[in-house]
Amino acid sequence: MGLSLHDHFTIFFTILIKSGLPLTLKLVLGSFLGACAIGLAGGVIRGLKIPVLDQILGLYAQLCRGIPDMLVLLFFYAVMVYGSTYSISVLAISVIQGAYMQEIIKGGILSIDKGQWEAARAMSLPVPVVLFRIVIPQVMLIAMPALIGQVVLLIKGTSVASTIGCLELTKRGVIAMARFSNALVVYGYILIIFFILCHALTMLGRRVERKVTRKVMGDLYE
Amino acid sequence: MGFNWRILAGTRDMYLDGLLVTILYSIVAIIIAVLWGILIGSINFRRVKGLSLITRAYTTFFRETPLLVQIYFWFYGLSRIMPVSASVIGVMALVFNDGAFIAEIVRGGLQSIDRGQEEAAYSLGFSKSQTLFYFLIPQAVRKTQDSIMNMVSIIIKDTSLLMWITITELTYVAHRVNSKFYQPITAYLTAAAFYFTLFLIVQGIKKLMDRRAEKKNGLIAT
Repeated sequence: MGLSLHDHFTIFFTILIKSGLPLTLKLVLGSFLGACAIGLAGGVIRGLKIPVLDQILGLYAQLCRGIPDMLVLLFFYAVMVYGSTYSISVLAISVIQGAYMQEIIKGGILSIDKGQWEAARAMSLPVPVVLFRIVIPQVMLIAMPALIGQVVLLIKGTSVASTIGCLELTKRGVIAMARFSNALVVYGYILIIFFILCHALTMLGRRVERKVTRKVMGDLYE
Repeated sequence: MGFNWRILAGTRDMYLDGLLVTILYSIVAIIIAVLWGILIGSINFRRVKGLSLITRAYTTFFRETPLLVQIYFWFYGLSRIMPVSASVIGVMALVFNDGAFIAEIVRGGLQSIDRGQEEAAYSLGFSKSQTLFYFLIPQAVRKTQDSIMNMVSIIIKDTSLLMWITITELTYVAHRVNSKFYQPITAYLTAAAFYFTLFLIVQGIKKLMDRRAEKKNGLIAT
């Protein structure tokens, strides 16, 4: 309602793309690295079925599947005295998404044929070597499509960071609403930006999946 | 800090009210989202001319944009055009978002059914829509009941985002209790326990459904 072309330009480029998007991307990158670290460590522990730790991490994964991200984020925001809204958001999103990554990597490790372990152990290769040189490279290949799908969820999940005041894309939109008060345009643009990010990744995921299937199935794949 | 039982005793009624709101919104959203998902999934599966172009674009777009921004979009955008209450918007946002996921699940289920069944139904004189309703959809739903139950727990989690559009559900109550007493552990842990209980109940129902399905399949097989 009553927005000039110049206003559209200001909303889309100056506010959203130039000041909002960089922080969203930083959030995505930060929590991706955090989630991967948690996921890899937890996934290996669960894949090797180390007693006690395995059960604790299983409970952690269940908790993250059952408790809303919003609640976890608000909890971290209330408990943490230090740290910017950015670092709190990264921590909360990493903790939640790490649980999902952990389960994906665990599934990948368990899907590797036991014979490979036995063959490598028979050649008296130490467990870390077997794990990092033989098992994990294969797991990364098998689990890649699922991990990319999880990153799409992670990107969407960063929008909740706006609710604790992290000045990313969504929050920029909320602030811009006070000036332009046209929700359909402002939030419409944010939806489009998020869609482009996520859709590009989904497309990539599909291509990777096709490649992985071809590689895993070998000649059987047509 | 630590867990403060006195505050919990004083705010018990608030929590129970919040829990009730969460359950109410979850149930309504789940029922409508499943029906909506089956409808859209069937349209995508059948490739209805013209219509399926729109529904396909809809499922792609809504699955790859954040729910929080969608909620804002509907809440602030629609309320300018016509007066709608926050609760209607809340349910609508949940249905549109999670229904898109369910639609893709149902479509996958429909596609996995052997074509021969459809042909058999036609040769018995059933029409296209009768075949869909009596033969294909019941099987697709049964095949994908695990994924649909996962969506049920996701919908319960998603209701937490409704706190930002003035709906006083569980996360909102936790947030308010915390800002009143500044006892984050008590406030958020209580809500988390409620959410986790709901999650466990859904998981229990899922297991029961699995067992029933197994029994049924066993009967058919023998």
